[in-house]
Amino acid sequence: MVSRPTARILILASLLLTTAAQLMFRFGMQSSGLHGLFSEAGGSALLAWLLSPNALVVLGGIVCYAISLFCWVVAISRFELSVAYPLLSVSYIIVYGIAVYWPGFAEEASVTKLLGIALIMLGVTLVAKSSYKMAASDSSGL
Amino acid sequence: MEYLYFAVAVLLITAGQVLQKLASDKVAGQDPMQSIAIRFIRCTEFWIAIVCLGLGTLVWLLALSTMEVSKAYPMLSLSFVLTTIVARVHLKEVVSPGRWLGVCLICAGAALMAGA
Repeated sequence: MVSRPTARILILASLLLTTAAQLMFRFGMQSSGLHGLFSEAGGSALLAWLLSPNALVVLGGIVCYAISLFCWVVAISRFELSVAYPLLSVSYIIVYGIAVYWPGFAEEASVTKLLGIALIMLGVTLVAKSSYKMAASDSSGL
Repeated sequence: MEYLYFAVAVLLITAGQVLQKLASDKVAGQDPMQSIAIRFIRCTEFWIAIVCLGLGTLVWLLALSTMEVSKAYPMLSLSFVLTTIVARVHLKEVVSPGRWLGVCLICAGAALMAGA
């Protein structure tokens, strides 16, 4: 069991690390050609990718992801899930912002995407609020 | 093809989450004199959960080779929808109207993003 301020820092760390992980995953995969992994050229595409720096970026993403999961598991012993899940969904917005505005990704900016993210965040909040409300006895979120 | 990888990743990740829940329920009901770590290590569901989550992450990487992360990552929330359905149908949990509404909103958001 960790203290409340520590749990707050761990949730924040989890949020930032999972954001970094998703961005590193995409960065390392976007020009890999690995969507054709199960085609004839799949083997050589995989070999070329494994020997490229992109594989290291994805590996870095996996490390961030693992640390993020660890922070999450430790933090939620002291944190209400009905607060933690909606908070985690803030990473959708951060990922969108970086993927759209950072030239290394140059993903398409679109109002439809933003609207979709807003609906999903609202949905996640409702699911979390109505699923975990009763489970919280001693922890009252933030 | 990009949506095939995406769909398989969501299925595997959801299966992993449900199995994690089954594992912790099973372990919680066992002999409390035995260490919690040992009980998990001996629990089959726990290991299948790890395999599902590991494979799910690998397939997720394949999905990201073609799908934009700004689009795919929020859509990963569809696992909340599947978890709710499994909780209702298989685990016989009570699902409140608020949670169903949340599920509908996630579906609507994901459908909107799929077309974006």
